[in-house]
Amino acid sequence: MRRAIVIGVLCVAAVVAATSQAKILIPMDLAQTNHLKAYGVAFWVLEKGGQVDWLLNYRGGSFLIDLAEPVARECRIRGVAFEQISSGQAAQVFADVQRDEANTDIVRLEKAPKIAVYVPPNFKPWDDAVTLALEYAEVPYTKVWDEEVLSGKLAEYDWLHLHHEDFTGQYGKFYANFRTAQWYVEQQAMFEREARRLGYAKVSDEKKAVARAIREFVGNGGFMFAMCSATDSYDIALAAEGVDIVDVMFDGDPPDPQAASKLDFRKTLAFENFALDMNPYRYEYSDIDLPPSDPPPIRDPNTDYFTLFEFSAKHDPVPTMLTQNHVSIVKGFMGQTTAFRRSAIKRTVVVLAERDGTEEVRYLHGNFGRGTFTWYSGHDPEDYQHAVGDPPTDLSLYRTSPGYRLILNNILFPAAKKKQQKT
Amino acid sequence: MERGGNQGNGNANGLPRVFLIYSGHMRLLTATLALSFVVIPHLAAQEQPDVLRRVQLAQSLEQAGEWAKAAGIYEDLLRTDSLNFMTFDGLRRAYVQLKEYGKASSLIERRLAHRPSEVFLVAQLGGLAYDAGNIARADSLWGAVLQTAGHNRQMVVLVAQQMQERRLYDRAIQTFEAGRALTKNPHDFVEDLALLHSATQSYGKAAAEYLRLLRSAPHQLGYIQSRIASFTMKQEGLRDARSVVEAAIEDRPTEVPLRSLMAWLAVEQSDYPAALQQYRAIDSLSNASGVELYNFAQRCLREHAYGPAADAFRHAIARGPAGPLILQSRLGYARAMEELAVRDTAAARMTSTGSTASESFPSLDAAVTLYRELVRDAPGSDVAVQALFRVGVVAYERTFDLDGALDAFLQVTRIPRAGAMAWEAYLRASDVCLAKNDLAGTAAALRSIPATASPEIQDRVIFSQARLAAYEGRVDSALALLGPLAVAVDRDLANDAIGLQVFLKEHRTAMPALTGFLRGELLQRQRKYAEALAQFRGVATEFPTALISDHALVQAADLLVLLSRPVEAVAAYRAFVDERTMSMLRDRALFRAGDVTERSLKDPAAALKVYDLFLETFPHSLYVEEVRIRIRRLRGEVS
Repeated sequence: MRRAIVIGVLCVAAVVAATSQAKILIPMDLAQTNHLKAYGVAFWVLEKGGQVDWLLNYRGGSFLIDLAEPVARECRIRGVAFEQISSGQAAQVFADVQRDEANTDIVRLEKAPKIAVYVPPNFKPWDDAVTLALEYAEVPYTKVWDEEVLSGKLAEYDWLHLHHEDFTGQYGKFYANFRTAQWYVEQQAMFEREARRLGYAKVSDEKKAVARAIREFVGNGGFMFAMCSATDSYDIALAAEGVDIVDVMFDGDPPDPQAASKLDFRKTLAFENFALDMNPYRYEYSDIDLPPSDPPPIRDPNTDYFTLFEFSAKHDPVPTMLTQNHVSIVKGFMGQTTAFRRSAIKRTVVVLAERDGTEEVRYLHGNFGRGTFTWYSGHDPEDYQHAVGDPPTDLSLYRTSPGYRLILNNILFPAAKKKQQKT
Repeated sequence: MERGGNQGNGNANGLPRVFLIYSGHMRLLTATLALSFVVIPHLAAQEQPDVLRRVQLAQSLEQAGEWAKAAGIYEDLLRTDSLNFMTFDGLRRAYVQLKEYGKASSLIERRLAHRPSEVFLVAQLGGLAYDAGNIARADSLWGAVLQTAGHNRQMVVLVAQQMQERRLYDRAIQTFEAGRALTKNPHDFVEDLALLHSATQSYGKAAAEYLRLLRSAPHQLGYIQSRIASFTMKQEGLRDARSVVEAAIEDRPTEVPLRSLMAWLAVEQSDYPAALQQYRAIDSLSNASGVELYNFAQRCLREHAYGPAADAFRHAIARGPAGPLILQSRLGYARAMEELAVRDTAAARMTSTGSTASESFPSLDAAVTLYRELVRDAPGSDVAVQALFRVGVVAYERTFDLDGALDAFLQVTRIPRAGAMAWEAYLRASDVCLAKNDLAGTAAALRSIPATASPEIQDRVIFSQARLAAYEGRVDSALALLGPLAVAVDRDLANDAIGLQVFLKEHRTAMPALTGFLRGELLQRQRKYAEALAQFRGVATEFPTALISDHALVQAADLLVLLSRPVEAVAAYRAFVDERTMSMLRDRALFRAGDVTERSLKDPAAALKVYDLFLETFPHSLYVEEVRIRIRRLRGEVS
């Protein structure tokens, strides 16, 4: 009883301390003029040693920061709308958010996570939505590639991002359409050279080793965020450990005829019971992807939307953080992996967003070991059908993009201070 | 009985005939499948309909990925006809797909025992040995093929393809190079090697191969450029290609295609001087009398590379091109010199203080002299029209020599060949008259433009007439003229027309103030800055409550900058922001204060403070994006 009283007093003291000064409230609802850069401001405050309170489900997932002129100035320069509120108003906000009956809560962000982005050193003729978002939001990150991953450098980072990658060693399955393109030929030669340099006979073997190293990073407490084909190709690579699933043009020999029956779904993070598409001329890895990318699906962008699930902010803070947004229905967008087939998702995985009334899951989250993974399907939230060679999306034209917000939720989520469980 | 693809030995070249259908492994597979639908049905229909059905079944199983079942059928068929090529090749494919490399090798070896002339099978055998992990045997088999048939181009390609399929690019390169040595033809395998070198990012070697192709087929320069362009988008690719071509030019300085390629590469790198060097040589080698240089100079002019353009025109003139090209070259040279003079003057202004707009510019004088020499040497010509027009533009826009400008423009209008240039000259003459405060002359010049002029010219005439009417205080007439232009939203001038229309309508309720303001603007147009300043200040003092007084005050502050009094200008802007608390021009004034502080006073710390204040005071202004960029630039975050 005495312990409970002490904890209660400490909690009250913490709230009083937190609310004893004027604050900057960065609203993340429709009043915000630049949602994407708002994440950058929050990250900037953390980098400078400050703290940020993330008000889950309060005005679209707003940020509350101690009032300081440099913060206000940074908001103005970056074009982020903010409100200056008194200590009394801040206390009222805290009280509102912590009411038992409200599905809101406060998560304190304390330390800027160290971010690594897995990206090949050469030019890629497509663009990565996450690096676009990070660049636009002015969030610093480091590029890593196979050598860094295989040599254990990931341990130096909190958060790892993967985008349009192919961990199966089939070079994105662009063979049918791009095998004579200079970028494709060079990429294949470069990957093969790199694989040999790192001691692997085949690129597919090397990529599978990279996938396993990433799984180890997650198991040891890392946060992994993946988009587009880096999701399904990643799990396929894990399931196909020791099994040749790629055709002669990719690794110089035919695949194992029994490959399908040799997949081990116990090794994967999110998917199971999927069937491979081993036809080298088809732009598709497996039946995880819905609708299949080959032939290209015909879909009306005006009717393609997906719905974010609402979670209990007080009991499920992690899924709540990942789904913070100023809208609950988000514009759809395609990619090599457009959506995940629900029946291929493991039961332990939490679905964060889906396309209503369909088998299509757009956003999922799960735990592995001491870490977590969050996967988001599709290529570019503001370019419905981004094709190879298309110009990169200019995010200054999409400052309030709900689709891009989901990406940026992920970079702040590792900064959250872990709360004591209530039970 | 022989069937299928095996056609026996002998042909005109002494090569096994089967090699003739070989230009690659994949082609053989395709041909095999195609033949199976053409040849086998015909033969089988005569003798063995059951065989046909079984072959078709095996092929269907292959397509379905049922390799083991297909292999079973092929094995049965081969037992009854061990030399049938279709069956043999089908079984080989199935074994390979099943990764039964040992069985596939034995199959080939059995066939080779009966058909030793089918050397291409030895190459395949090498590939299978490699797949099975026996690299030494693979090397030995491939080596044997090259040793026995390396003089045969097709065989070299076949072995190299086996290597490429196994991602052995370096080995494939060695094979092609060895094959070239055996065939003793330096132009053999050029494209194969170029592609392999560029794939392995050996761009210099790739370029060297393309140079071989260029030497054997100079007319393919365009194709070769397109191939090289696939890697010159990378800096290292461009650098390596240039260095290879440079070395080749040293060896063979008289080859024009080589120099053309070099010039193209130099332009890709925006190295115009190097490109000029090549074009000089090309012009000389091809006896082009300056044509090549002239074309290059025009390109430089279009790309605003005025220095190289002037050099190229000068060299073109020295080469003495025939006919009108010499005049065009002289005109281009004068034009480039004019632009260089303008650029030098602007640069000088950036570093000097206290210079005024009426300074004389010696290098512009040189350009004008060049134009006048053209008018003298080719009177009445198209070139003379253009040269005279440029004389007028320089006089009006650069040196503000109004009499000289008017004279030049009116001379243009009197040249019979001037055509549409005459209308443009009249429009410019009307501007000059306005600057001379000769409003009647302005009206006359505009009236001289016929109704047959182009719609774009007609629009400009109407807009100029409206502006003139406004300066003369005939606001209703001005509005009447602007009406049709303002609603023609597809016209270039619609925005200007709307702007002037709105301004006149907004302030016509205070007519004396509007008239006074327009008088100030006319004085400013005449570059009578001190008088204009007094005029604007007078409007603001005399009509302090009129909306237009805000414009007058901001305009007065702008004039202080033109009069090289930036400190006073900043003070005037800041005073405006502080005092005119309801004005819609406050954001513009504060932005200008920051701009002058940054650019004229060159005080970045003070400018930063002004810009910060701007963002705080006017978060929704149209200028915020520009202000943010400037803050970041001043903080060193962007260049």
